[in-house]
Parts: sequence; C-alpha cells; structure tokens
Amino acid sequence: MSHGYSAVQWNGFKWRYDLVVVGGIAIFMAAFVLMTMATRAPGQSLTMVQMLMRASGASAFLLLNIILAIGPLARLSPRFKPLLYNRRHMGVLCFLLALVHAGLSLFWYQGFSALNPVVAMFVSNARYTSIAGFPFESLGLVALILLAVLAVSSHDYWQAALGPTLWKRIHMGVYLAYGLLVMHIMLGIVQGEKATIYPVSVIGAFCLITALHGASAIIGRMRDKKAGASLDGWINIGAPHTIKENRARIIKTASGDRIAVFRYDGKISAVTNICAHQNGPLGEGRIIDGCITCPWHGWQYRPEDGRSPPPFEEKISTYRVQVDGGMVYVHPNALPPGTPTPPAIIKEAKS
Amino acid sequence: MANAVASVLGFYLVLGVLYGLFFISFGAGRMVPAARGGGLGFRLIILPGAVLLWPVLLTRLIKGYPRPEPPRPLRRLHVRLWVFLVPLVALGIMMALMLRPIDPLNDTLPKGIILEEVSS
Repeated sequence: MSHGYSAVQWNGFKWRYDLVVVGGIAIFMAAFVLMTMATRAPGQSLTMVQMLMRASGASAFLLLNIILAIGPLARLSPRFKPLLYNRRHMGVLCFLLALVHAGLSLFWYQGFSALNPVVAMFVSNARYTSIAGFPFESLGLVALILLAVLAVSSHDYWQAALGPTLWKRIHMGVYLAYGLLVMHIMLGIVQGEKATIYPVSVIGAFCLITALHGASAIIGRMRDKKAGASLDGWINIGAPHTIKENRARIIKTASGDRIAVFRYDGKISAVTNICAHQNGPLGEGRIIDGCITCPWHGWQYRPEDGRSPPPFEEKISTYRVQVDGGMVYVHPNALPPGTPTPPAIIKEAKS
Repeated sequence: MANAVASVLGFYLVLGVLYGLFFISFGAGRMVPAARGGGLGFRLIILPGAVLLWPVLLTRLIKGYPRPEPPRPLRRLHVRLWVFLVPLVALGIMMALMLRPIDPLNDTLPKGIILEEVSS
C-alpha cells in the first residue's frame, strides 16, 4: 500500500515465489535445449545461439500462458489465490525472456547486415499482404513493445500515479500481446518446422487459456447474487446468517456495480467490490484483524469507512446498510470513497 | 518506410529518456505525494516506465496532475477484448495450419531441388 515507496518490497514469500519461478524456467530451458539436441535429425542440428533463441522464446510464451491462467484459476478455486500475489514479477521475467529472444534473433539473422538490425528486420521480408511467408517477426516486435510497457509500469507507484482504472486498461494490453504472440509462433516456427509439437502445444495452450477465461466469466456471473425485492430503493439481500462470519456476499445492482456486503462481529457493512490497488474482488476476501483484506495482494480497508488503516491512505466507496425485519438491506448508491457509514447491528433472535 | 518507423521509435525513446530523467527528479513526488521520500533505487526502477509512458505523464503534467480516475469494474472491457481476439486468432491459426508446408525444408525450395539428410 502506498506509504512510501522502495525499489522492490521483498518479503519471504516473494523470495520463495521468485526462486520457484526462476528455477522452474531454468529447468524448462535446460530441458528444451537437451530435447532439441536429442531430437534433431543428423545434418539439421542447431547452433547454441539458435537453441537459446528458441528456448528463451518458448519460456516467455510458457510464462505468459501461466500468467494468463492464474487470474481465472484463482476465481475458480481459492487454492490458486497465492499465485496472484507476485504475478507481476512473473510478468517482468516474461518480458526479459522475450527481450533475450528478440536480441538473439536480431543478432543471429540481422546482426551482420549493413543496415540497422531493426530496419533490416522490417525490409528483409516485406510480404505483408501474404499469409504464407508473412513477416512474423513484426508481430513479435509489437508484442515485445506491449510486454515492455506492462513490465515497466508494473511497480505499485504506477498504479497510484495513473489510477487503478487507467493502469488496468493499459495492462489489458497483455491479451493483445498474447494474440500477437500466438500468431508470431504459428506464422513463424510452425511454418518452418515439421515437428507437430509446436502447433499442438500452441493451439492447446490458446484453447486452454480461452476456456479458463470463459469459465471464469460464466462462474463470475453465476456468483453475482441478483438483487432482491427493494424497499424504497434499498436492496434486500436476505437474512444476515446467510452471509458467513468475516466473509461477504457480492451483489450486483441494476446499474451493474458490484457491492461486497460483509458480516463481522455481529455487524453488517457494505463496500464496493473493487480494490483500489488492482481492481481485485474484495468480496472474495475476508475480514482479518478487523479489516477487509483483498484476496489478491492483501490490501486492507476498514469496513466502517472504507479507509486503509494508518499510515496508509487508500479509500474505497462505502454503501449504507440496515437490518429490518430480519433482512439486510443495502442502498445501491455508492458514497464517496472513505465516507464513514455506521454498520447495521444484527440483533440476536430471542429464544 | 522501415527507416521512418525505426526513426520514430528512436525519437520517441530519446524524448522519453529526457522526460524520464526530469520526471524521476521532480515529477514523481508531485504526482504521488507518498513517493517524495523515495530513494535512488526506487527512482531508477520507475525510470523505464517514465521513458515509455512519457506522453501520458506529460499530458497529466499539463493538466496539473488531476486526480486519477477512481476504480471502476472493467469486466465488460475484458469480455469485449476476448470476444474480439478469440475469433481473429482462431481464424489466423486455421489459415496458418492450411498453408503450412508438409515438409517445410523441401517445400520452400524451387521445384526440382530436394534436400536429403546428410549421414555422417
């Protein structure tokens, strides 16, 4: 949260996370190189530069698939939520691997040209109107630029500077980069290699990622509780005991806003479902130490006023709540971020 | 054309470096007050972002650093992006598979020339 900034805010979990990611990629690259050496036909062997070029490109694509799978997986099962915590480091590593791939490719194919290597890459194959023989390198270059923008703007500072909404819009460019990379591979190595493992793995990955995002969107819609009968504009969301202690129910209003209604310590409070950090789903988090805790990166807000505990300064919108006739009612109009709102007190049923 | 693209990219980066150095020295703390005490490591790590995002930052500077837009749900944009991308990429994949040479090494050579594996 934004109380002072440092280059990288390390902690034990992040160190372990990064160690596993870097170790996993190192093992994958070594296995890729060894497999390539073992399976190439005599007379078609690759140089070490070519193998590293392919290994770094394959690693970057693998990492991008994992990054894109984590979001929907975390929505489908809470077991995957810890993977979200440090996903940005994975994104930076993905960009660095893509940069190594691009650098080796430029060096190997254009490094000895009399022209600037980037210019040489554009002019060496100008068949932009043809599908077969399309200069797939240009697709990779655009994807690399997009990945660069995402990597360099991944620091928390940029979320505060640009605002979570603009930051998120920029970072949705990852889907465009993914599409470009799929086509970069399909029009590149898949056209030049006989081995079926290339098209099968790329198409399989694309189908899997698409299916995961589709399933996540459908389940997200199913989880949205439809607003119940209203009372003078207030939305009935049911009896208090139907919300688990220290958890929330997410409701969607007629205007499309999602509200997280929390039950804790015999009280009910309602806040927006969107975390001020990365638009994480607050309603899928829980109350820890008296604060609503985002399941993505642990940002916290007090349920009574939507403010982060001092010294942090983040604020989210709150909603008015009341308990009437044994039912919880929420007013659908959001109050300005950080507005103190008295929680509704749950009266115990008399025995 | 290629020269023009490379020149534009180079020009963009040079301006970005100049603006980025100004930004990490004077602009970062004005845009986000919590960054005022940030050390050299922090400033260096946000420098590449300032280099690439300089038009956005310059626009915000000219507008007097307006408050960022509050958080808004972007699920609809997310769905639209996928709905746009999936058919386009699927079509591209199908075309790439249809045009794929059966034997890439020989199929791309002029007719009459066949490469044979060299046995040692």
